[in-house]
Amino acid sequence: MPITMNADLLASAIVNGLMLASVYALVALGLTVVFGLLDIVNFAHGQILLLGAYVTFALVSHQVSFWVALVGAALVVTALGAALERVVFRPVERIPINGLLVSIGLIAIFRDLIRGVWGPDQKLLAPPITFVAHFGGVSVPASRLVVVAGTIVVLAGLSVFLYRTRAGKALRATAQNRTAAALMGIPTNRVNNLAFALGACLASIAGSFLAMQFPVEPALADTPLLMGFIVLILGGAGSPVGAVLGALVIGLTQSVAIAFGSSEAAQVIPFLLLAVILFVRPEGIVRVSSERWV
Amino acid sequence: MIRLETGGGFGMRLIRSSGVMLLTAILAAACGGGSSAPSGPVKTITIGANVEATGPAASIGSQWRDGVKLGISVLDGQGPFTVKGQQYKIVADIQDSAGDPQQAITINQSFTRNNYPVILGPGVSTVFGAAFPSITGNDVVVLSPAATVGQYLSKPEGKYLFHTHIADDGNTGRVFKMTKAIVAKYSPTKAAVLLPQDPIGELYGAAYKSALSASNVSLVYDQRFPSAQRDFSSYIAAIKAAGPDVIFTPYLNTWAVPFLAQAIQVGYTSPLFVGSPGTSSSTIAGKSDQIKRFVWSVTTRATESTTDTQVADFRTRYKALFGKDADANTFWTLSYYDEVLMLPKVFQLAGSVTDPKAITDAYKKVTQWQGKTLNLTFDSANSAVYTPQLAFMENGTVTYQDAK
Repeated sequence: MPITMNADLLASAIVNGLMLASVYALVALGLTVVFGLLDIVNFAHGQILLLGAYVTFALVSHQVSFWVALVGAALVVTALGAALERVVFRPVERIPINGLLVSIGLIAIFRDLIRGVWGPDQKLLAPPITFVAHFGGVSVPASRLVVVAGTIVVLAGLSVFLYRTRAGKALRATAQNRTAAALMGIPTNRVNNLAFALGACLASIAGSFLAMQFPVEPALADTPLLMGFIVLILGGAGSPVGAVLGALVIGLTQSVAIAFGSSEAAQVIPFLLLAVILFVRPEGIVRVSSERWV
Repeated sequence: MIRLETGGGFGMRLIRSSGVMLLTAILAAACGGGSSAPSGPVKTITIGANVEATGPAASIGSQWRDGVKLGISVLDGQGPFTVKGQQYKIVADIQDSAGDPQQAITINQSFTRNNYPVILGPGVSTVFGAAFPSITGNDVVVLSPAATVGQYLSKPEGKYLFHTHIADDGNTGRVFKMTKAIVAKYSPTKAAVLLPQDPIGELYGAAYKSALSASNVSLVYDQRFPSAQRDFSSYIAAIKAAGPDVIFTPYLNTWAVPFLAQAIQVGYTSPLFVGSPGTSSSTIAGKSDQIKRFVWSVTTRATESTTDTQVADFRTRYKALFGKDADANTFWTLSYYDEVLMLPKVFQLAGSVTDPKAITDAYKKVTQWQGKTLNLTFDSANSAVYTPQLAFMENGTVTYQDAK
């Protein structure tokens, strides 16, 4: 049954959509960094995100401040990402399909590990921010705005890293042309390692943000990962700018569809957009060949 | 070299007479003692339990597993029972499907290959829906709490199938009765229903719609969400805009807990919130300061209650076996507990430990058994009959009421 259009409902839907888009953007960026460098579609990215959420929960439940826990989880998961690249993915890097299979295997390993350590039940994290902002008739939990603001800070930091630092430039150069980068003296193996660590770090931050909003449980990463992949293709696989744009499109349309249309519409729209973009503009919103990492 | 001497003095006679007495005692023990006791060794009946102890439904499936374990441990304590002069004991082969339908099929088929006379589970509707058809045609009694069991009960393939929860569908089911009772108590005029997109969601949704319509309550919002959904903020905004005075929430804590938490986040706490069957006091734990009124239907019986004499024995046994008190989620263990405890009586009444028809008929006749917790019987359609409980939490205080 249709809900009457009103400004308050629209405003709520937009704020909720922006929060969704923030998480999707972080997930898609993590996938993009790894795919752009290694041509591996890392299906275990969701489990890495989940690990970030659980480590955050574990630290907070030991009386650590949420923000310290977010940084702590990011450090742990980043180190894990680097280790995974070195130990698991590098030996199979010459054949990307093997990397994909390895990532599927990692899902099972992480899933059982997480269940073994934390069990199947939902873990509730005490919200670090309980303040609710009121704009007219719209009530917006400040924690949602913090996720949006935090994502903007992370994106700005990522941009500075990619465009202003030596390591970031090496990463972009390797993504554009690995052989040329190697000939220029860039240690491409180390760059791969950096890319995986960076992808894991972004996943962990997304996991911490999700833990702030929702109960931590084994299925927490399922929807963000699925949407992350859709965003990745919609935005243009390998393009960080495309990942952000794609996340905004998916997050906002889903949220508005739920508020004004129906849940079924919200589920169908992302796939409809995906189908349209694959037919009309297969390279995605941002053309990867010219825009990738540039 | 050791040599055995014959004859001899008092010492030797003492040894010889002691040996004779010992031999007599051994022979007497081997013969089973008194003439009225059953003869022969105690035979073992193995039942199968196909549970979702890990995987997405682990929080419920692990309780189902514990219900079987507890039931078997109680039976162990009662000792062997006799069917037609033969002594038996019951053991359970508990297998975890991890909520994977394919694994559940494999487990069910291995149970039937082993000729187990009784199978418990699977309990998750979608898993049951996949696994049960894989063993239809086999002579085995199956008991399951899955909401989709009902659709098989009237069919030939469901002749040995039992539903261990009371029915939720139609105008006579629990959801319909619960809704009518809530409408009678609180007199709402506008209602909202939010349920997952799955067979139970559809079942409950239809029953809510029917009961609300029969009570002249306007259904102003009715949506189904994908099961992976955890962000309900946009749903809550839309519900708030529709302005209901009663909201029927999703049926599992997986969804109901974040739903209520997100409603509290935006200060939407004034309507009456009703937890669909499957929720419990754990759904509202830590939220009663904000949400003042929460009503739910207990799926089996509130085992957390320390004042309910009906669950007192269960609570004692539960703590003895698992080393912890029964809590708000332990009510799921009762989906199988009594069904396991009934088994000795069922086999005795059936006069068989293998005949599925006799076992099925016996299950419907048993009314008393040791350790009885749910006031349970099975009707002629193989569906459980017991009095459901409604729980009312108002201003932090919970009261239970049998919903007649």
